[in-house]
Amino acid sequence: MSDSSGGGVTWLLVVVGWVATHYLSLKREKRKEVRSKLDEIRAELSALESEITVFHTNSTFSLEKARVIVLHMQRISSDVEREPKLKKDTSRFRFDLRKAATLVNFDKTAFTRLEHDSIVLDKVASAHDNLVNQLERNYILFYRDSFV
Amino acid sequence: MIIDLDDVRGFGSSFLEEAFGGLVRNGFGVEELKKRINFVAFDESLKEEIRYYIDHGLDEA
Repeated sequence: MSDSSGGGVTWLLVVVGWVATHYLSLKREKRKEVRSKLDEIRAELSALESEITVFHTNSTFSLEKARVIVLHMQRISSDVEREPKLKKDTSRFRFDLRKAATLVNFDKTAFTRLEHDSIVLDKVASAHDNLVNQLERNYILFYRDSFV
Repeated sequence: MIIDLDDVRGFGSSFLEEAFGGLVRNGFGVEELKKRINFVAFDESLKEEIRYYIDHGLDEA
């Protein structure tokens, strides 16, 4: 092999190595970014569940708290919608959480103070867990076979 | 009819059920509603929830 062709192979290896390293680095960064987004969504969901509990166990109806819950729920749902790697099959679970929290006892005229072990709050907790489980499932399935 | 659900500061399920399940309770046919109303929403779960109330109403919610 001549010196020039040997040099060509070396350069080719350098370029291929750089491309591979760059590609794997990008993949690793994206994975970290998605994990970070998922942790953020989980924290927001926990905060939302606390807000829902406070609202339903309050002695009087609070329009302000009701608005905060509805807005918070929409922001979380939109965050999930924006993350294609996480949103798969979560639509029903987001709908279940909104329904559990805001379908009953969410009207000023029919509001009653609920106990912490009420069916409504039980459904909220289940819907929260189901949504988190689906988000985690999506993360695991997407990155399961990845080695970076 | 096109109903745009975006750019609103959230919906409670009690409102969605009352608005869309209420149409069925007030005599509008399920198939007629599905044929005539198109929903625009970034959040897919909203459309799914409305379709549910049109199909099932409050009884099975």
